[in-house]
Amino acid sequence: MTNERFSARRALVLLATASAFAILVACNDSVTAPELGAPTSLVSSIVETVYLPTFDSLNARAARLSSALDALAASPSPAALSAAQDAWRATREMYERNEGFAFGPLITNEYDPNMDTWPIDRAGIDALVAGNTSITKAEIDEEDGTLKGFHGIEYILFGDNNSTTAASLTVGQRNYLSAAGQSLAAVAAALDEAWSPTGGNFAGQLTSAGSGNSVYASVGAALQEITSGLIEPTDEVANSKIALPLSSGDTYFEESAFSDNTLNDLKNDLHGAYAAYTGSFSGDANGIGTLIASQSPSLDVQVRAQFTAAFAALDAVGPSFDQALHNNPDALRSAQQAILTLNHTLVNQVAPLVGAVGDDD
Amino acid sequence: MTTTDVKRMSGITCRPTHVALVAACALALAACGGDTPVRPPTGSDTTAAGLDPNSGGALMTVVDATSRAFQLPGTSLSSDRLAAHVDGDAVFDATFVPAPAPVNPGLGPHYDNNSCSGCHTGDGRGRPPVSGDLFNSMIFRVSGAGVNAHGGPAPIAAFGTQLELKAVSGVTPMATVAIDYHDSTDTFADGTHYSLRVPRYIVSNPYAPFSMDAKLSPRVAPPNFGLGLLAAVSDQTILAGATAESAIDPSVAGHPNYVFDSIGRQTVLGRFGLKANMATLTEQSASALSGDMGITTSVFPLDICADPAVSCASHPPELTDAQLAAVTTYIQTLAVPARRSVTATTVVRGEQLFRGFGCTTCHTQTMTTGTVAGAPEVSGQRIHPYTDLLLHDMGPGLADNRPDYLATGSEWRTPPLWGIGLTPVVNGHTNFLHDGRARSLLEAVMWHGGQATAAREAVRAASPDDRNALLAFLNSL
Repeated sequence: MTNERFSARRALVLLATASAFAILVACNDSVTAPELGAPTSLVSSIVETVYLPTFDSLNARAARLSSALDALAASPSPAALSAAQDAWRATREMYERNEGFAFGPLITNEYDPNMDTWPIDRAGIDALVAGNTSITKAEIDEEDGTLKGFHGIEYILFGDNNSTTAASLTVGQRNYLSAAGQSLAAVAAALDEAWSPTGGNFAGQLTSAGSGNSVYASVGAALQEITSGLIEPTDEVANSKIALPLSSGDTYFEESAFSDNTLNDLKNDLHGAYAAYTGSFSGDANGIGTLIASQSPSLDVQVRAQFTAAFAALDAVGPSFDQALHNNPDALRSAQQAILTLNHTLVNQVAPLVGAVGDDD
Repeated sequence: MTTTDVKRMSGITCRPTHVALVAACALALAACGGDTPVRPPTGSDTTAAGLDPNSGGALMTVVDATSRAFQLPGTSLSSDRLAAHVDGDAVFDATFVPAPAPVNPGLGPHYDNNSCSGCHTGDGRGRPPVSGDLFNSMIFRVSGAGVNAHGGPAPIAAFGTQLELKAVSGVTPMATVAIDYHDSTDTFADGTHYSLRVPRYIVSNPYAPFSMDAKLSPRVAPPNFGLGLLAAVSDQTILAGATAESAIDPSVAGHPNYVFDSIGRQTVLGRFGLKANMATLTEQSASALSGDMGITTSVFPLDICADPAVSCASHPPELTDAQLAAVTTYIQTLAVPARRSVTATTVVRGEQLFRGFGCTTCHTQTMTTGTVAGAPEVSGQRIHPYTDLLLHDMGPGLADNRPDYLATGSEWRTPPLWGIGLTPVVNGHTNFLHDGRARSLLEAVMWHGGQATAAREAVRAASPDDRNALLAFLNSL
């Protein structure tokens, strides 16, 4: 979410899908609201099957990442470095999935900028670790997002062109990794807690949407929120995360350039969206698609096929976004186009249909 | 989000060119005492918002009650305008880092946040920190004795007019600030107790000598949507509102601020900022970029470099004019969310109470915007902003005691109320007023003093049912 970027781009003009979505949503009051079975249970199903397990898993994996970074800091070895890098990728997988429902405490409690700010302040991190053998989690907690989070850790843990070795890590860098890992894990735990029915229970705000709910005063608003949430990564991946590196030819604009994990990031962005649509990460439960299928079975078939095509196009990019950027940009363009096609269907057909449902509660 | 040809951007400014329609800003009802708390709207009243859910008019209202409700563009933008909006959105969301850097350089040296959206989350309302939090969406204006060359707040040596609480690597932040709240309890006429939290701000660790006589004004980030419409309201409309208020009751009438326009280089009517101390959206945007982030533009080309350790060398603006124009267009075209539940019985009754209590004397319900060249979406719109864009004395309880041009230390510009009921879903809190001290809408109402004393006392005298109806109405905005 905070990995927003701007640049003086001159070549590519892809018009404003997010904004077009807004317009369509805005116009939805002109659509006659059809009857629908139980949109409330649909919201509950998505929250319980997709959202909460993702936050739980992010929390657990971030804790394991923190432990792996502590171990690396205490005793740097090639095996410890490799284990920490694997733990980073595993944690990253869950964070990117949560981009398909990036609203609520993630934003209002400022967890996102603390975990996933892009770009990072390389010079600032270099200054932070230079000769600093005692940096603590508390100090990292107070720093800007540009000095920590996934990409700050990634910068030290992988290095330019994945050049970090166990032997190259300085004491300051090792301390930084340990402290930044602990800070990230604490934020992931706070996010999980904020959603949890046994904690801050933001989940309950969604599942109890309706009159008297101070956050979602109608089930329609909750469905609209879920739908906007799943559309967002399709816009961001196509129009920003692929578009900016493609148009600049520069890996600086990549999501996870140090680890070359960008392609996985993009796939997991789509997985989060897909799960909200289909109701589960395996695509077989009750999600927004259930509602769409009840109104327009052919549209539901179309959306699922376009998700499948988008995943296939990302698979075809190959193992590395970096390599494709330099050697096979056409594969990136094809993936971008496939995701845009999906995005346009979601914006122009799915969102208006969802908007027409659920406000009669 | 980030995909537009920079060549398409044009420098849109926001000054009305002429008056198309001047809404009758006359205020139907004077503030009334607690003995007659409710007066129904009169038949001749043309200012009632009534059942109109389109607070931003026909072209700048969006039907969205989600976390995105404040960050959507108007529904009728041309493709060029939409493209500029999207470009500006990318600038607004961009995270800046200290120069030199390959992407988004220019942050600092002193700053309060590293992105516009970092303070204006979801284009909504900031809040004071909760325990252990940082001041991420709240800033502190400062000034010294006297006024500057244009009659505005006088900068303090080494601090300027804002305490920037963060600094880039190698530079010392200007200070740290802590808030100490204590509770003040009071009672409604029905015997129900309520509590207001009274803040005290403690400045410590100043990086240079800081006089305890300095004037300090804490401010949370105000919402960004609908500002293009407010920019399109003509000066004449605003002045007519002041005249109408005087005609009804001089003791509650507001007055305009007149401020120095750093772009036009002249004194003009101010309408943005919590004390109406900014003339245009372009200046407001450039000022925030400079003061809050240390990002220079052609309007404010120098970094804040009060610290002698910081280089004051001139350099090219960190944001181009095209980018400044885009971010200004983004703000100008953010639409207003439609009202919900306008026909609900309680909501309708709440609006009658709101008017009867005298709230609409300042929180003007209806205006019609003028014409802005190149911005048809904000031109000629019948809007319901719930502000008169005028300054009112709010009493000593809310005073910051920091004059700003013609605004005294206890005067504030009436804030718009449109969209206020969506604060929980967009921002996850219900902190209101200039420094977020109110923890609910009702607390915000009960903080009113000065010219709003009679209206506040009318609310105090109201029954619990009537208070709830009033809140139901406010939450429908």
